[in-house]
Amino acid sequence: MKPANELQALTTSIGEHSVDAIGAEHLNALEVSLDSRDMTCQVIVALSDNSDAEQRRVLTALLDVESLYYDEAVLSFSFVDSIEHDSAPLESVPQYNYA
Amino acid sequence: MSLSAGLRSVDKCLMRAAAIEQTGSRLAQLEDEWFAVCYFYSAYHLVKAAFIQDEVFDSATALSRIDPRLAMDDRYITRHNGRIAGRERTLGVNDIVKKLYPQIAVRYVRLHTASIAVRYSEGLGVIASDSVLDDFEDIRDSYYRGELKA
Repeated sequence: MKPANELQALTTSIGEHSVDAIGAEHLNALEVSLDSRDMTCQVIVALSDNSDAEQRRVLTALLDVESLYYDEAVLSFSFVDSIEHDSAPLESVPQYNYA
Repeated sequence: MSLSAGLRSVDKCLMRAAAIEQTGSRLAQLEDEWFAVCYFYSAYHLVKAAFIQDEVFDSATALSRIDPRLAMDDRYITRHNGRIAGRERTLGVNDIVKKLYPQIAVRYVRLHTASIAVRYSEGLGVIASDSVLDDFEDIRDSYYRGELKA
């Protein structure tokens, strides 16, 4: 397994690329969390516009981001209305948050 | 590679896809959002049928031209997502759809996302029911028009 600082750097990089690819002006929030046990990475997206066309544009952009990290992490995506932090993040799960 | 319990013939995949679509349609009429789960799994069996039929899986050379990670046995793959194994990534159905049939990739991924939202989260939420239906119909119609070929 990679050292914790490398896992956090990877998570931050995926998050920053995702924000850039989507366009910050289109985002209410975005969260990335990486499970270092199997290198699965969840990208949760809260858009300002959740129209059909906008979601498809954003997914197209995120699939391009996925290709940049193809051998490092397995990305999956979800669309939400807002990102709420009901509990404190786990120390063992590197996270990136944009709000 | 995961091959467990997967259907190995086009006919069986298509029969399963049609049966699950019918269940999905009944749930949609009831405005039960579990229709999204059914439509995703119907689409899953349609793309699995496309994999089994696709001649690209007859040739390791043809596959490697698309992506060296692709293997001939991947036509029977069952798991949705790829995995990181050591320094290499193995592929899942979602990955293969993106590589072989990019014209439906975004709709397939959103349909999978909708299914996960219903099964594991608080429901469809910001994914519109009409989007789920459109995604499914686009994938189904692409298959039956013979467009799902690498």
